[in-house]
Amino acid sequence: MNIHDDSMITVEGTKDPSRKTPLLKVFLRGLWSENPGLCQLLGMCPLLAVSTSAVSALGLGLATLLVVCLSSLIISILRRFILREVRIPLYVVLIATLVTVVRAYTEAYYPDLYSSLGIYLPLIVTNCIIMGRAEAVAGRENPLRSLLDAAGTGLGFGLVLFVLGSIREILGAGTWMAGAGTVLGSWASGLETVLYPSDYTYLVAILPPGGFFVLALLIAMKNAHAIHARNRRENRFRIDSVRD
Amino acid sequence: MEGMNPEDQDKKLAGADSAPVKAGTEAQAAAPAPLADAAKAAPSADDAKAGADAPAGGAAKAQGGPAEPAKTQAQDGAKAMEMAKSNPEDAANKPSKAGDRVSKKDAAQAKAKARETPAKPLKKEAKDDASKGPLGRKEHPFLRAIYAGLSLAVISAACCLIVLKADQATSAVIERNESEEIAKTVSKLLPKEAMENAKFQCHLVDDARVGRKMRLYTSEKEGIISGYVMTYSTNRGYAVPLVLIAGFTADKKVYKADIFISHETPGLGDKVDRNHGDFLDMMNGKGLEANWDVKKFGGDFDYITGSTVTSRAVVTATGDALSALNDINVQDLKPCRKR
Amino acid sequence: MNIRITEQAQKQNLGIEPAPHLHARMSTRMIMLATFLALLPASGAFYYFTGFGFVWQFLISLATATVCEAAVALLRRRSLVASLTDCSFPITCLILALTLPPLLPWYLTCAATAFAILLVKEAFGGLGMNIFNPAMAGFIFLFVSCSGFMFRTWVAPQSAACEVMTPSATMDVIFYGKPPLDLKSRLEAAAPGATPVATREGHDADNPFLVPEDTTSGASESAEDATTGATILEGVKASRKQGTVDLASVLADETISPYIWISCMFALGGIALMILRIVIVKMALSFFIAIALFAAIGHALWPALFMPVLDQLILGGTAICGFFIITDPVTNAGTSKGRIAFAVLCAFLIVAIRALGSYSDSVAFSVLLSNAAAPLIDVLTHRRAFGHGYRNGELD
Repeated sequence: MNIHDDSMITVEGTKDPSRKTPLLKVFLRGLWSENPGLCQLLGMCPLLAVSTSAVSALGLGLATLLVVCLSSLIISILRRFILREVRIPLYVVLIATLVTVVRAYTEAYYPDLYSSLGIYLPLIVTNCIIMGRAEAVAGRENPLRSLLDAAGTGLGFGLVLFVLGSIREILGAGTWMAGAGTVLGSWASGLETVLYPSDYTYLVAILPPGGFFVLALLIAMKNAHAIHARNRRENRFRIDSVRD
Repeated sequence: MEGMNPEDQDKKLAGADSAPVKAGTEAQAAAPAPLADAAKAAPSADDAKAGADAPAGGAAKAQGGPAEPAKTQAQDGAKAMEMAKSNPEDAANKPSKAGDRVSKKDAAQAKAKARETPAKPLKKEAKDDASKGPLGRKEHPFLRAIYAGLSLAVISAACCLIVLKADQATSAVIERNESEEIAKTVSKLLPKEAMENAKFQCHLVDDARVGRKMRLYTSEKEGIISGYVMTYSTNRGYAVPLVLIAGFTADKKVYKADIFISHETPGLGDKVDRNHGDFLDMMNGKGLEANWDVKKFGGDFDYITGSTVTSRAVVTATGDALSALNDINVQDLKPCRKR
Repeated sequence: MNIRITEQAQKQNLGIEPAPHLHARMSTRMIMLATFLALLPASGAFYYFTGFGFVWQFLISLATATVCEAAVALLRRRSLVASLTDCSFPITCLILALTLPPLLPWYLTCAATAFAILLVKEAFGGLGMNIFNPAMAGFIFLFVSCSGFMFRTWVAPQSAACEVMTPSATMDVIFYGKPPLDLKSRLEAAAPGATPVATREGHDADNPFLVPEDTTSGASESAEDATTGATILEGVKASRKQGTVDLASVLADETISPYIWISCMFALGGIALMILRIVIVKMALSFFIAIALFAAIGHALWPALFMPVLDQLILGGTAICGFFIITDPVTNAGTSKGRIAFAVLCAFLIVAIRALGSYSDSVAFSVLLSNAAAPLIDVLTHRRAFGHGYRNGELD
């Protein structure tokens, strides 16, 4: 066993509870090790519904990132004035306000994005990621840590959305970033690409079953990576079942 | 009391706590070791959370002894606690008068000990309490409730104001967007003379031939309608929904038709749409006098080989839309709902 | 059941199972082999009526499935030889080859097989653990994703098609991407009793969309539908949309006999399996009786929507479903009452979706829905354990 591996093994009960996780780790755990879309499996409804094209997935990811950062920041600033008994209604009110404001401005200044997102933009209120971050981190930690945590989580969710949307759009429609020009602005119209004619696409990727399939494969890949890393760390590459 | 720091509040309350505990123990004349009991009572007073339970706890810890005098003492202790809000020293002194000299000295020692030992854990509690909010956790349930309601009300009111402000700031832009959207959709489907200087109005159409919640846009010039654009749906296509949109001239003839929403079979049924050719143009200029069906079934219109169903659906739907349009009185229609 | 055995026992190929021990000659391998052989008469009939394309599809499917199974065995660190010789995936390949259009491009067949084996069978646990029937799921995957291809490459069965659809001709279409239309029009031209159809290149100058009007022969009508993509059931669906389902006129006599032959060959194989007691007689019987019953009721009440009984039984894969697909022991219900309920449910769904649904080929969808319902059927029909519930409402 490599002598340097000792620092990487975490044995339960030996962590010093008063030592705080470093800021960078707070940011990075939302991106990879506690990714809301692939590990925590939160926010599945918008994840599967909106990721039919890369552009709408990107739009929803950005909206969610904005809402989660602002809500975590505000809740963290107000945390000393919020009593435990009424914290959930207060969080809901704050998050709903933020989402309504974001929706109003999106409808005014990005009408194509608004119509492509449809009902899923106001549905960000019910996204468990935002409430989860508020409850777990923002209500307890100082604003900087809350903001970093929210940014990491929001970015992680947005990345999963974008990757899922890209894969589904490439498989199901043969294009990538179709509609970028109208939704994001004319500067993005150069990103639109047609990869192969639409006669050869697999339509099922855009339909709901395809969303489940692709998401399942992404989760499987992430788990495989995590298990492989753990096996390598614990030197466990051996056959553990004998059959047939 | 509310103006005080949380630490001071708790200290005062803890000081008042130890008093009824001592009162309870002193009531046990047969108590074997009053000092030990007082010592036991002291750490129990450390837990400020015990609050009003401390007197009863102290009475239970001092085993045996008359329960009722302990209870009355506990009640006194509770009363003493309330009085202790203003004057902790008097409350500590009052019950001690009831005891004898020995216990009074022990009580004084215990009181001193009780004052010291809770200092450290109190601080931790004070920190916990500070993180719990401006008011102590259980000491003022009524005030906590009031504060909870107030904070909820204030923050909700502030949020409502923010939402209203945002709504106000964006509503003008949104309306402008909507009218531009209508103009863009309609401009592709109506002749130019119907479009110039025209005002567009949206109406809701509910007709068995056309579908529910279909929209009819009229373009008016000086009070006279110069063109119509209507969406209409049919379930005779291969896949539901199949919604078309067409512009009609003032004399209710088709000007131009287009597909609005379609889930027809890709590769076969979607050959009717404008990306794959101009099949839809064969309907231009036709009115009610034409026979709205495909030639295979005796009508006037062609159909695409291999997607007979879709072609026929498109043609018959347009025919139905024309007949519905002729029967509609625009004044009877409801305006479209905003947003 | 995953039982840990010693390495020595594994090397000596000793199986360790808990008592009671019952010696049966039938092992998984024998059952699978018997099922495969029972599908061969129908395969022969299919080859005769649609040509060599079906064989190419089977070979492509087999190759893909072998690669997939080998990859999964390596990932699971199980014995490669054992997983490749248990004869279970060739049946999936054969059923896929029988249900997919014979002229489908090779990469689509590969995709369907990979999906069926990897996602539907292995991802759920491998042989014996899958919830859904892999062949039907693979068919639906293609049907939903690439309907255009499915319609364009479908071949209407007709006698002696194997002479026109030679190995090289079909290879051109499947592997080299030649348009299937040419091959199919050659097939139509060689159809017995068909009058020569007007050339398809010529068209009216005014109407570029017009098909040359040649409605004199019934064969060319159905031939046009077949060429331009409608399977028989798609044609029925088209008539259903017009409201003119009158099957007597849609199927001329010479076009239905291949279907009768194919269904009879499936029945032959099914009866052979019943004799070998691999297929449960009750299940197949209740399935066909239920279809006949529902079709009769439907056709009597709403003739515009429901096809007549004989057509329901013969067209659209009912025969293969009744004998081979719903009787698959892995994916159907567990209890014997449950199996009958499963068969009846599947029959009802087939008839209902054919009449009212948006997709015309309803067997695959009905089978998947019934597979999803099978665990619930098991719970609802589980048998009373001995000694329990003897008295009403009591625990004993």
